[in-house]
Formats: sequence, structure tokens, C-alpha cells
Amino acid sequence: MFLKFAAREPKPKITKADDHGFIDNDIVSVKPVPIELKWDMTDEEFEEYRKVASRFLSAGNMEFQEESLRRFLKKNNILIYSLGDVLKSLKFKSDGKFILRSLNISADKYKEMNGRKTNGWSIGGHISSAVFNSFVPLRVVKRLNLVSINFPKLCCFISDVRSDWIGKPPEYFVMVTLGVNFEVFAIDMWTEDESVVAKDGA
Amino acid sequence: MPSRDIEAISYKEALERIRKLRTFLVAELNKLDRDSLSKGNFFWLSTYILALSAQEMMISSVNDGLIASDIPWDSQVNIPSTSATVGDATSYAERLSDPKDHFLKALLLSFSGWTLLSTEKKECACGKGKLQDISVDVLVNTALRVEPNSNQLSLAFFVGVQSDDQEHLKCHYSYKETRSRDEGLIIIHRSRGHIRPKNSYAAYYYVEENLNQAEQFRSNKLAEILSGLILSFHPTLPLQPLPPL
Repeated sequence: MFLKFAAREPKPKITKADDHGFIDNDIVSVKPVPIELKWDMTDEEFEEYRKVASRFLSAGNMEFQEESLRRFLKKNNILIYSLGDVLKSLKFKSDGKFILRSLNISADKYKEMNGRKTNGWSIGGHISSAVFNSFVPLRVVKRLNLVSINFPKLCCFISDVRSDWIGKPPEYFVMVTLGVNFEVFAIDMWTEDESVVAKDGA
Repeated sequence: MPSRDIEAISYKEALERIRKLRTFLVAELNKLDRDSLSKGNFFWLSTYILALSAQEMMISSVNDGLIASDIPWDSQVNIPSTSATVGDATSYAERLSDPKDHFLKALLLSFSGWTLLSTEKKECACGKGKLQDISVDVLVNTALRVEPNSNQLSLAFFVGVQSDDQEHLKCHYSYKETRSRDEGLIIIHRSRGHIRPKNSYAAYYYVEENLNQAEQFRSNKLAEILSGLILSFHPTLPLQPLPPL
């Protein structure tokens, strides 16, 4: 026999309880934060390390390259967006239908970021590839040029939000990474309402 | 409607049986994997264990060598009668006055209706286009029931939210139930299961039936609270003395 449980009527609210954090926020606006360095050494120590690395370590030492990228972004005041917040925002705003173009990460990383499986292949291309054909502010292009000149192996991808909400402008984030299984940094965002002229600062 | 087979047993006998039942259920809960526990599949079982613990405390406190009352016992399901359990759990909860006992009190009172667990300040942009601060009440409710002609206790645990912001209630949660009798409240967690006796004395089957909940509900947080309460069930202050006759 199927049992139906009828929840009883709510009691009238007399006093409020404390906030115990049982409900998640839905973050639909994300804010950039300063990048965190992973290696526990000063900039001076890192420069010394770089001298050794460039001579004796493999040019493909990706951990070193990734930390170099972090320090470069920090030094140039390029704030980053938390990837988890970005994906949550895109998913919320597009009812889960957003698309990541030129994605160059592993299937596992994609699943970790996106919360769903892929067919197992990595997709994407380098920043020089013309794979995104919508509006991009000049500020963003300058920022990407600055980073990619210093990191030739950099891969870039841009979110493309498709929203069913009538009148809501799409929102875009640009993300860079050194490749599969490496950290992804969301370094800028924009909407179509922005001017093509670059804005200073973050 | 045919009446259930309810027998009146001595309070000492009832205490022994309740302890056996509770010990068995706690041992079974401890065997479950952390993932199931943190997801909320067995909240219905955890709250029932708390109710039994409260009932045990109440029976012990009101009975002694001078006062010895009989306790109603459902012989078919081999549990204290549900009305006695709800009554004792509620009575115990109403005697808790220390703020540290807030969660225990709320979970025990949930057997008698929706009870406030938390009042939260949230940032929400649902239907607004930009983030705004809103207030959300989180409530809990536990229902237990034995169907006539059945030897099975069925339990359901609910978490609901209330807010003045209707857009938030409509759009924020990936799972929600609305019921006409719970106006202004949406249910974002529902876990159900049942318990019935095995052939041998003081052993039971328990079965999880289903779980429905919103992604936005932090079930692992409530799971941690329930686990802590079951492990350390004792009030911070002694029970209030009974009023003189």
C-alpha cells in the first residue's frame, strides 16, 4: 500500500532562529579575486629558481610553467574569477545550456568543472585560432595578447551562454590554461553591452 | 477501523525494549557508508532514534519506585506506540531551554509539526536580474505512521523553506514540493523509509524507500548534526522538575 505523508501546516513564526547555513546561495554575479600562488617562495626566490629551471629543467616542466603563469597574472594585476562560481553562474543563467568553446582540458577535468560527463575526448585549440566569432571587448583582447605573448603554450576558451530568458544579454568569460589536467584561470568577463574600447583595471 | 494490538507494559519492561530497539537501530546506522548518511537518505531513521532516546529519558525521569506507569506498546511492530513516542519526544523537547540544545529541540518538536531550524540571510537574484539580500526560514517535520493491519512503521522526514520572496521559492531550488495545506512553504528534502520486526526478538528490518532533495540543501551539514546528537544524547541541563501534584 502506498503511504502518503501529509506534512502538517506550518506553525506561525514567533521568533527567528540563527543562521546555520543549510541553504546554498545561487551566485549569479561573480566577482574577481586576487590570484593565489601555489609555491611557497618569494618573487626573488622564484626568479632564482627560474634561472636554474631555464638551464637544467625540461622546457616542458608544466608545474613550473603554471606557477609562472600565476605569478605573471598576479604581477600584472589580472584578477581571476573562481571557476566554480563562473560555472555556477553560467549554469544558472542559461538553465544549464551554456557551451564552452575551444575547450582544451581532459574529460575528467571537464566533468569536474561542468558536473557532467563528456564522450572522453579533449577538444580545443590555441589562442591564435579563430574559433570565437562574437563580440569581444578590446580590453579582453589586449589582456589575452599580454598573457599569450609571455606564455606561447597557453590555451584559451570562451564561454558562450545561451539563455532562454527573453531580454537577458548573454554573458561571457574567457579562460586560459596550460593544458589538460592543469588549473584553469578565468581572467575576464563581459557582456554585449560593453563598449569595444578597453577599460583600465580589472 | 480495526484497532491495533497495543499492550500496556511496565515502564521497566518498556525501557528495556526501547533500549534494545535504539541500540539495534544505532548499530545499523553506523554500518552505513558515509556517502549515504551525508546525502540524507536516512534522516528519517536518525530522527526516530533521537525520539526514542528522548522517550527513554522521559520514562526514566517520571517513573521511580513510587510512581510506576504503564507504557503502551505496539505488539505487531514491536515498538512503543507512535503516539507515546511523539508525546514523550515533544514533552522532552519542551523542557530544553539551553540555546545549545536548539537542534535537538527542533528535531524532536518536528514530530508534532513544522519546526524552525534556521533563519538564513541569502543572496539571491531569482527573477530579479541582480543579487539582493533575502531572508529564508528552514523548517523540519517528521511524520511516523503505522498502517492498520500492518507490522511496519513508516517514517518520513521533510525539510521545508519559507520566505517572503516568492520568486526565490519558485526559482531557486532544483527540487521542490508544494502542498495546499502548507501554504507559503516549499519542501526541498523528503526522505522516507520503514522499520518492521524480524522473527527474532529485538531485531528489525529497516528499508530506505526514497530520497528527493534540492541540490541547494546542504544535507551533509544536517547529517553531521544528527550524527553528533545521536552519539552524545544528553541535555546540557537536567530536566525541569515536575510540578507538584
